[in-house]
Amino acid sequence: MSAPTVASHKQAFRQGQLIRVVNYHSTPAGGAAALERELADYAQAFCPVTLEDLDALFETGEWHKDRPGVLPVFYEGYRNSATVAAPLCERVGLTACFPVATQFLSTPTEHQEAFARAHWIYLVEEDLRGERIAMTWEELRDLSERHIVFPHTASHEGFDTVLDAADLKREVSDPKAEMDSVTGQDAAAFAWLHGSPYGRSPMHDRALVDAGYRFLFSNTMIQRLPTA
Amino acid sequence: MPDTGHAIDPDQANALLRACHTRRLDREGIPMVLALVDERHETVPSSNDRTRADGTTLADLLGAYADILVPPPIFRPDDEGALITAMQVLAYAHFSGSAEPDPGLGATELTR
Repeated sequence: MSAPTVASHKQAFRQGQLIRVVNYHSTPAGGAAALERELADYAQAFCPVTLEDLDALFETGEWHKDRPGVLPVFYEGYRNSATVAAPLCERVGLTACFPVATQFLSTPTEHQEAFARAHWIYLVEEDLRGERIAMTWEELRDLSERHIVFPHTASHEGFDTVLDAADLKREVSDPKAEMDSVTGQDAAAFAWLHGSPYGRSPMHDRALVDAGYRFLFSNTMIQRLPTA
Repeated sequence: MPDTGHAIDPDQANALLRACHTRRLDREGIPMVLALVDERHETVPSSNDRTRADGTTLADLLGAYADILVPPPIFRPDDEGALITAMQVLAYAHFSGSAEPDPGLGATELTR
């Protein structure tokens, strides 16, 4: 278990065990030009990070590209992650991560605003046109062919509200099974709402491992999880 | 004292703290430098000098910002929120890995 402290992070950084991420939420089309400039700046200064790069980094301890890596991360499963953010990442040559609350994608369009407001998914003005707010499963499948997609629970839950085996099944293991059935891949990573790390609760840690996740994205770390 | 050779002015650190929290976080990217931690075994250090130099600069700066903004014993060593706060300022000001604040940070923000 790794307790996140200033001291532990300083040690990891000194060992070169770090990665740069940029966390995004809704990326409305009205902000696309600014987002493209921002992503282009990152692409110029840093290298893209693929899932294979992340696996290699943990297996060897080495970053193998000529510039440090950067990983844009677009949370929640917004429609504009698929229609705005992903094409811009591809245009500038970056691989992105898309952690999605899987139930958001499965919620009928007419209930997506209520789902978002009930589950800590922030909306901007452009999200409120009465149209679809979440990406579709088909869009997620397409993203998985070029980017990294993984569950961010089903209902955008923190580990402190996932209390028993039924909750863990619904929020941890079922989202992976559902996503894998759509993408035909093995979702490698997971993230809790509020970015809680591995090491806080043996029950929750065990559920992540048993579900088959390899990585946990948290507020201050990417953790390589034990194998089952 | 901060363990970086690059002295950080407490007023500047506090201005950066405010600046990185007054952006439109619902739309803008939030840069972070994350630690890579292997829960299977002890993390393997990089043998690449450039990678470790980049990490050492960031480690020193993280320590410096933590000493100024979230010092013990006011903040507990295991206060994750305090760690996140120091890391947000670190990434906001030094995402490139430079010991000096990254160009592009508006002077008005730093003197606000």
